[in-house]
Amino acid sequence: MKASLNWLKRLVDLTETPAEIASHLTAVGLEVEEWTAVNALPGVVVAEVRQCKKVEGTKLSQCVVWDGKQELPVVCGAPNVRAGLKVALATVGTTMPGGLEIKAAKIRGMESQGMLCADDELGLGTSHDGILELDASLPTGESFSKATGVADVVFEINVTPNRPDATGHLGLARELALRLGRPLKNPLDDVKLPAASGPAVTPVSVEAGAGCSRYVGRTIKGVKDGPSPAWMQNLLRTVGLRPISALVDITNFVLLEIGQPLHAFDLAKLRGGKVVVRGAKAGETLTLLDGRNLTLAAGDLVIADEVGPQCLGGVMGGADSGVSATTTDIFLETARFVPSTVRFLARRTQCASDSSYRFERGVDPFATRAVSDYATSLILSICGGASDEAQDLSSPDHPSAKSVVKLRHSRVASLLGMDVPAATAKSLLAGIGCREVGSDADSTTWELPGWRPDISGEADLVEEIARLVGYDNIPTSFPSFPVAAVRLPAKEKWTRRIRRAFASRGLSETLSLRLVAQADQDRLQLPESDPRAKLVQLVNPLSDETACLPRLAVANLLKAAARNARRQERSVRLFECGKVFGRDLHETFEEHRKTGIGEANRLAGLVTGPWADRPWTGSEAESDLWKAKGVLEGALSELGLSPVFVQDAAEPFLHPGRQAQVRSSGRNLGFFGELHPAVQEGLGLKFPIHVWELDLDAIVALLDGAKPAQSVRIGEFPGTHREINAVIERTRAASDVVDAVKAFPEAANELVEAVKLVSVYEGAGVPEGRKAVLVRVSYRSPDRTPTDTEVNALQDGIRQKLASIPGVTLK
Amino acid sequence: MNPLDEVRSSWASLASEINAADETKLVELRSRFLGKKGEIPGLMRHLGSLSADEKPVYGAAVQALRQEVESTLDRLQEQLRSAALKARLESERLDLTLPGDRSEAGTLHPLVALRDEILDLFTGMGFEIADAPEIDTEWFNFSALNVADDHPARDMQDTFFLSRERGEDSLVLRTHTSNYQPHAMRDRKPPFRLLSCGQVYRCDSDATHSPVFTQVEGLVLDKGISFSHLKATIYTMVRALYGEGAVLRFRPSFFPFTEPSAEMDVDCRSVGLDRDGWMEIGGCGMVHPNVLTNSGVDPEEFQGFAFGFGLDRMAMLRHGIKDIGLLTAGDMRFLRQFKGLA
Repeated sequence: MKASLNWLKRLVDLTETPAEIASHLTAVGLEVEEWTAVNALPGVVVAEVRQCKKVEGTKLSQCVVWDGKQELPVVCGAPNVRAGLKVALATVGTTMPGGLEIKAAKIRGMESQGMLCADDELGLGTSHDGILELDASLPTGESFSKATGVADVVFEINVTPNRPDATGHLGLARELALRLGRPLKNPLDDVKLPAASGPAVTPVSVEAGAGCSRYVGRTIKGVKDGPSPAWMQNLLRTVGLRPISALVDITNFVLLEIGQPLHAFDLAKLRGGKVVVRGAKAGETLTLLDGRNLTLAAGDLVIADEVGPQCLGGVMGGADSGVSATTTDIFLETARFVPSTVRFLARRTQCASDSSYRFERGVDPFATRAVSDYATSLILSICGGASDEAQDLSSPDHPSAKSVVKLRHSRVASLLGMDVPAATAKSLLAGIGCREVGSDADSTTWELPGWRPDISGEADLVEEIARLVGYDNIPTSFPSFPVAAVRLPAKEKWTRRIRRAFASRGLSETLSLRLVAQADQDRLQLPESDPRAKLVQLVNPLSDETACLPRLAVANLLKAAARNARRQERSVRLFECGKVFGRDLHETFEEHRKTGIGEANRLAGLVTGPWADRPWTGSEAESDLWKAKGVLEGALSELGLSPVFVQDAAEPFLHPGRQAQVRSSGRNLGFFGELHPAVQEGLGLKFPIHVWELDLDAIVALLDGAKPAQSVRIGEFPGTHREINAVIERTRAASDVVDAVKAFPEAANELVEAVKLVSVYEGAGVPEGRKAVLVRVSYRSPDRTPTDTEVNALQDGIRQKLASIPGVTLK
Repeated sequence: MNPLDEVRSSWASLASEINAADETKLVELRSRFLGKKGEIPGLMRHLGSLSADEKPVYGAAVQALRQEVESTLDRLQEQLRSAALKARLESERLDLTLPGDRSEAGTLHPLVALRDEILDLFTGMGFEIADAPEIDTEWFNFSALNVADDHPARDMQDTFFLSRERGEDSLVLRTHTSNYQPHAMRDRKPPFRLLSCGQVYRCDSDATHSPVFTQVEGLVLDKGISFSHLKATIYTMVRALYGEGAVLRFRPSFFPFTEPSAEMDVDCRSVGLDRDGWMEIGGCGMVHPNVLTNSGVDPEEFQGFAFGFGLDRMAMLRHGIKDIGLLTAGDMRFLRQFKGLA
C-alpha cells in the first residue's frame, strides 16, 4: 500500500518528519518498507509575469518575470502567457523532472533566464496546452512545490492480510492519531448531502447466496464529468494512480482514503435501466475495463443489467457500462461482497485488482451507506447533479450486529507477562474503535469496530493492547522449567557422525535442490516397469526443471558432477544426507501410509576424477572403484558397521559387472557401483564415476541399536599362521573363499584369531579363466602357545572343507 | 727380541695402516691380534716357560697390550660407524617443503553446519528436537494452524500442490516447518519445549529466494507461558549466535497461527554487517488459541509461544555467500571452501 503524507495530513495533524512517521507506523505493525519524497521540484518558484510582449512573426513572447527578489527576462512560447499571471518559474540551474537543465540562453537574440513551466514539464500532468496558471493568491518567491502543496512523501507500507483497515489512508491515520494522541478527522463523520431528488429510480435486486451481503445503490443525474480538482489529482498521482476524470478519480480517491471500493456505471448503458446482483449463467460473457474478455462460469458473482453481466462483482467493471466523457447520469455502487467469493473470482479469472484486494480482506460491513454518502457528496460538489434516495439492501448473511468480545484483565497479564493497567488497556482499545458495552471487576466486554474483521477473540484484543503498548516495552523474563537431560534424537546424532566420517575421508557434503526434472531421472535409463522411473509431480510447478520430487539421490549428485565437469572441475567427491520421495516409499511417517506418497532419508555419495595422494610425483592418479569403495567401507566401519558387498545387485544404471548390494547385519542398505558407461556418456561425462545410495534410516537404526564395542581378552603368547591358496573361477567372488574359511565349524575354535584375504592372482601358474585366492588364517591363544599338531589339524580341516566345495581347487 | 716385544712392535709398525683402516681391515686386524688364534692370545703360550716371578709381570704386560689393541680397534670401529651413519643420514635428506601424503580432508555444508549449531544451541536450552513430514496434508500445513481455506494468508505462502483435488486430506509440500506443531501436539502432552528444522517449499523463486529453503522453528507450551518469556528466549538465541552486542527489535505483525504475532529484526551493524538499518530474521508469537484447540490442547490450561526463522540467509551472511543458488549447486569449487566446520 502506497500512502501519501499530504493525504494523511488531511485526516490527522502531523508535524513529524517522514522518518518519524515511518517509525511510528512500523512500531504498530504497519511496516514501512521505504519512504520517498516526491515533487520537491527544487529551483521552481512561484513568480509573477510583470510585462509581456508578443514577438512579431513567432509564437514567442518576451516577458519580464518577478521572482520575489529580482526581475528576470524570460522568453516563453506558451499562448496563454500574459502580464499579471502567476506562474511556475524554473530558475537558472534547475534540473527538471524530465532531466532538462535550465540555463541562461539567448533565443532569437533575446535574453532568457529561466523557463515558465507547463504541468507536464513539472511531472504533474500530461497537458502541454500552455503554462500553468497559478492561483493569484500564492506568495511570489515561495517554492512552487511548497506553495501549491504538490511536494509530498510517499510511504510504501507492507500491510499484513489481517488489516483491511490499513488499505486506506483513514486506517493509517487512525493508528497515527492514537499513537500521537491527536484527534482523527474522519471524513465519514460529517457528510452533508442535499435532500434527495426523489425516490430511487433504478430498480436493484440482490440474489441471495450470490456473494453480496450488502448493496447500496444511488442514481445521480445531471453530472458533468471533467478533470478532477488539482488537489485530488496530486494525491492520486503521489500514490501511483493516473488521474482520468472526476467521476473515476472520485471512486479511486474514496477507495484509497477509506479502503472501500466503489463502482460508477453509466446509467445510459444499463439496459432496461435496472441492476441485478446475481450469479452468472454458465457461458455468459463480459468484457472488462482492461479489455479482457471473460466467459463466465455458473455462479460467478456479477452485477448485470436486464440483458447481461456488466461488472465482475468486487473485481472489475465492464468496458461497456463504464463512465466516459459523454456520461451525464450514473449509477453508483457501494457494496460489501463476501471475501471468499471475491477471492475465488479474482484467483480463477486472474484479475486481481485494487478492489478485489480490499474485498478479499474484508471491507467494513457497517460503513457501506456512510461511504456511499461520502462519495455522493464528493460527486455532487465536484461534478454537480442530483442524487435520488439511496437503496440499501442487505442479504440474510450480512452481519446484523457488530461482534462483541469479553476480555479478562488477568488474560492480558498472563499472555504478555506484563501488567497493563486496565485503564490503559481501555483507552488503547477505545482508540482503535472498540466500544465498551459492559464490565465487571475482572473483565470488560467490547463491541468491535466494523473495520477490524480480524479481531474475533480475546487473544486478538490482547495483541492489540500489546502492539499499542509497544513490544519493546514488554519486559523479558525466563520461564521456569524442570531440569531435563535433553539429547539429540538418534537420527540427528548418527547423521552427524556419518557426515563427519565421510567428510574426514575427503568428500564434500552437498545439499541438492529437492525439486528436480523428470529428465534428470530419465538419464538413469530405468525401465518403465521400475516403480522409481516415474517421479512424483507437482500440480503447479514453477518450471519443468523443478516440476518433480527426487526419487534417487544419486540422480542429483550426477547432475552436480555434470555441472562440475562443464566448469572444468573433474575431481568431484560428494556426499549427501538427503530426502527422496516416492509412491513406493511409505515408512518414515504414519501419514504417508494413508497418502500414498512417502519420503525416506538417503546417504548418497559420488567419487570421480583425479585423486592423487602424492600429487607432486607427476602421476595423475584417477580415483577408481577401490578408492570409492574404500571411502564407503572405511566410513561405515569407523561407525561400527561391518558392511558386506554382495554382488547380485541389478541396478540398470550401474555397470553390470561392477556393482554390489551393500548389506550390514543382514539388512540390505542399498547399492554401490560404477556408473553404467552408457548412462555416464548420456550425462556427457568422460570418466568412470562411482556412486552409492544407502538407506540412511536403516543405518541409523543399526547404529542406534548397536551395543558399545566389547573388549576381548588378549594374551602374551606368540601365535602362528597358515595360508591356503584356493583357485576359483574368475567371475566367482573371492569373498566366497574367505566366507567358507570363516564358516568352517572348527574356525570358531578359540585358537583362530583372524582370517584374512592376502592376495587375488590371475596369470602364469593359474589356469585361464580362473584366479588364485590366498587366505591367511592366524592362530593364537591368550592362554598358551598353540602346538603345531593342533594348528595343522585345524588347517587340514579347513583345507578339506574348501576342497569339497564344487569349483574350488587347492594349490 | 722376545715374542711380546715382537707383537708389540708389529702392532706399533701398523699404526698408520690401522688409523686408515676401513671396516674390513678392522675385522682383519681384530682377528689377527685378538682372535682365538691371534697373536696376542698366542703370547699366553709362552707363559709356561717362565718362572713364577716372571709370570705375573709377563701376564700383566700381555694384558696391557690386549687392552690397548682392543680399545684402539673399538674406537676406530666406532668412528667408522658414526661416519657411516652420518653419510647415510646425509644421503637420506628429504625436501620437507613438499606436501605429505594425505587424503585431502573434505568439508561439511555451511547450511547443514549452521543447522547443527542451532540444534545444539536449543538442546542446550532444554528443547527436544522433533521432526515432521515434508509432504503433508492441507490440514496439518494450514487448517490445524488456523489458516482458513479462504483466508488471504494462504496467498502469503504460495503452495506447491501434489493433489489436484483440494481438501483437508490433499497433499502439499509443506510451506513452513510449522506443520510439526500439530504433529507434535498430537504425539505428546504439554508441557514441552520443541524445535524442528528442515526444508520447506514455496512457489516463488528469484535471486534471493529459492523455492526450497531451510527453516527452524520452536514451540514452547506450558502453563503461564507469556510473550515476555518469548522475548527472553529469542534474545538468548540471537545473542548466542551473533554475540552479546546484538540488538533486536520485535515488530507487530501477522501470522494466522500466533496472536500476538511479531517479526524479529536485528540491527545490521550490531551483528557485524556493514550497513545501516534492520534486517528481518524471522517471525514469532503466542500460539493462537485455535491452533491449540485444533490439536486437542485446552488454551485455558496451556499457553505457549512459537518462533521460526530461515537458515539460508543466515548462512549466506555468515560466509559471505552472494548467490543462494550456490547452496544447492554441488559445485566443488564452492563446497571445498568450507574447511573447519566439522
